Amino acid sequence: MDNTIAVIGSGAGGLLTATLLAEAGFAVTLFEKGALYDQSQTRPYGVEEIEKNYSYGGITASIGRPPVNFVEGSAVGGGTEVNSGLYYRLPKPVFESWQKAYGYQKLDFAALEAYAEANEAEVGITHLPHAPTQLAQKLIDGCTALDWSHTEVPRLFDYANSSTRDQVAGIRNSFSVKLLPRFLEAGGRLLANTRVKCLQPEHTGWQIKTTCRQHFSVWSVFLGLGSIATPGLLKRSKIPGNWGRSCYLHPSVRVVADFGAPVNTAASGVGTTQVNQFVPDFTLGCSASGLHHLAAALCADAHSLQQLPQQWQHAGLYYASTSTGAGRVMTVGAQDLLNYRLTSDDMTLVNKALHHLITLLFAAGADRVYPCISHKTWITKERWQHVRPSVKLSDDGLMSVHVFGSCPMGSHQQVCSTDEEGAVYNQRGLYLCDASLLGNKLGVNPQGTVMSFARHVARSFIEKYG
Amino acid sequence: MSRGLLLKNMDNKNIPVVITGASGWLGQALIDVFLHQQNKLRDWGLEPEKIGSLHLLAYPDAASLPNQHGASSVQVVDVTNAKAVLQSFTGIKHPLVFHAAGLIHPGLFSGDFIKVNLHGTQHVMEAAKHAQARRVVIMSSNSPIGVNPGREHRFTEDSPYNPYMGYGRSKMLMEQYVRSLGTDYPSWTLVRAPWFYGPFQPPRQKLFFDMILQGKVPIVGDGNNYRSMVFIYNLCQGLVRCAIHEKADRQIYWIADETPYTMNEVVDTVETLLSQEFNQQCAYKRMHLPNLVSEIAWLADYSLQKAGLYNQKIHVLSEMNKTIACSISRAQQETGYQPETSLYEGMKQSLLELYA
Repeated sequence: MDNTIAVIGSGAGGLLTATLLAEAGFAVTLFEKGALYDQSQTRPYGVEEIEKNYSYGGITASIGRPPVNFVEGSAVGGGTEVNSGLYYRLPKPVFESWQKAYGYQKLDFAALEAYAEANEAEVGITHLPHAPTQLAQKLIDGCTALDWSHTEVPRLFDYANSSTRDQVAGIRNSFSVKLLPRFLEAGGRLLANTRVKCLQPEHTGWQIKTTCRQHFSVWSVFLGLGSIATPGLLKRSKIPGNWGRSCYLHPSVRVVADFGAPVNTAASGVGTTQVNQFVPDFTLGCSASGLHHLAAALCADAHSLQQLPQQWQHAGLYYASTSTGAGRVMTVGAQDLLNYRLTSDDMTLVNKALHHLITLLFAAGADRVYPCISHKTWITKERWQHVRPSVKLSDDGLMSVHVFGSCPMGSHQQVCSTDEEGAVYNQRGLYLCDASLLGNKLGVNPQGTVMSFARHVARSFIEKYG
Repeated sequence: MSRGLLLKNMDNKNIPVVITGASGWLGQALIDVFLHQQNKLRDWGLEPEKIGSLHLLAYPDAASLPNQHGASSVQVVDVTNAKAVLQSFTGIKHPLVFHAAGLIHPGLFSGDFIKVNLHGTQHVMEAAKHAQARRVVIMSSNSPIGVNPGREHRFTEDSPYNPYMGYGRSKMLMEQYVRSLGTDYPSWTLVRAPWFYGPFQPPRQKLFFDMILQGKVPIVGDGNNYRSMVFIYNLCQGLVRCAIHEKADRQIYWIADETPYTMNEVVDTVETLLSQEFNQQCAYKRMHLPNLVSEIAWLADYSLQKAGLYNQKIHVLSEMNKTIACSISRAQQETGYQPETSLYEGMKQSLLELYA
């Protein structure tokens, strides 16, 4: 037993917390079940990256109706190694609704804004140095035709000088690139490929047991495994609490648009344009649209798959993302499962978002579109006058890249798992520092909010014990 | 539109119009067009000023005619009664006749199909002959032609008869009777229309919409079989164009929406309208059934109708996995028919009547 701190999980919350604590002079050990990869050796959004850096090869399915596939990072850096790095600060209306729902009494919006500024300065967010990609430009064209508003979302990304709209070049400001060197420099210890099995309270701290049969005794523990695994570890460790009684996704439906002329290149990357006309109900945007992404999206349509090698550059992949549904995290043996359900009103919103996306794509000049939902077929512009496809509870195809809100922070103990400084209720020396701290219906990419909350938790700890 | 395409004897004014089956779904829509939406008539090539009088033949009563004000006469006439039909044309000279009376879903006995659909048409044609009608536009159906042999196949006016059950047989016999008439009978046009939708719908349509709301609508097989459908005012346009075009003399036309839809598309579109336009709570579910269910329903329907009996739900279920789709290109080329309303807009008008 010594004064070490364990941070379990090295994603947007865990690695930031570990770095700040290490730089404040604490002896920090960072546990990560995934491996450490050199980003510069892996093509972003490529098949190799999906195999290496994602949990379960990029598809984790929820149970419940409809099934929603979601993705989680599984490498040192967590989700920051695989996501598009689109960056939003926590919107003030969302903060105000969380303040009411979870009883924020000490946490104020100005403090979170200050944390966001510090994060942005340290990790680096940038705007496009050139015109939007052609696929993103299509969204802008559609918005212009329909008089809808759109915005360019900044990214955690360093664009290279050689970057152009058709050959986007640069490097993702993932945390293995931006924070890990700082963490190691400050004396932090990284244990990659190390899965934590459970925690056990000891007299003056916690014992951490790993699947490698190693035991570590530490003074304090910060959990940053993400919104599924954090409550899962707490449940498996039989620590009493309301872990995972809520959990939220941004269920999204994707649509392939065929523009009939080249608009896509192998280096188009991620579109940074989002349609914000309908926030907070839903957001429309452009997904990574490489050949393999399009092939996965069209896998149910054998004819289109055959034509794809010749025509993929005519197509792009777009999404409509909603803030709908609610779930809970279940633990079965060593597996953590998300049981997620959408109500009738939620399904209406998902369908409304899908229809707005298709309307936008036709206004942008698409010849035909393909909703990536089971049993759907291509829809031409002419046919769109007649019919509306509908997503049903039994359909496959909804997906989410955002998981959050399984152990919310706040003063309302009946719904919250930690106090306003991230300390788990009724447990000494146990903290949460990841997306599980967030509330419901965020509506925007969560990484910026996760980072602000993590910095808030770390700063509170340092002020108290540093 | 070239006037040369119009019926020569349409130059006269004060043309009487007779509508049989006036209390039915199509009949009421035709009345609405002739009395309250005359701008549509003008768009379709018939100047409303030329209409002299409107005579409505309704059955079993005229109480269900909410918009009859403005008609010249309303008579309760059973088309199976030859004498009554003949009498109902008394005093009407050179009319345009829209024969919309028909029986689709009988009560218990399937034998009523022949009485109404075949004998009723014979009586109307005799009366029209007596009244020296300019033209009789007669409603037929997709059922005399049956079901398509494959999903991509489309019926044309040259497709052979292959009647589906008792209703299809009665309409086939009716068509064959009409086609056998000599030149001493008035000019006629047969209009084959598939599944209707739109205002003035009967209660069975509400049942269909409620099944979608509750997630109990049966999708048999994969639901990607095609069905031609026709919005009721698109059909009215087709009937009016067939009534006035020279080329439509003694012709058969398919009149439907521009394109067939899959069952999935129909149900999805109605579900979207119910939830997004009418704020109804949809279950977002389907009752998926194997193809075998439709085949069993077909066998049951066939057996019942052979025994002279009829059950509407079994009959509808037997058709659920069938492709019944037609091409409207001949009507478009020869009569200028151009459907104006999409499935989305048409269904919206249907639902407005029930859920507004």
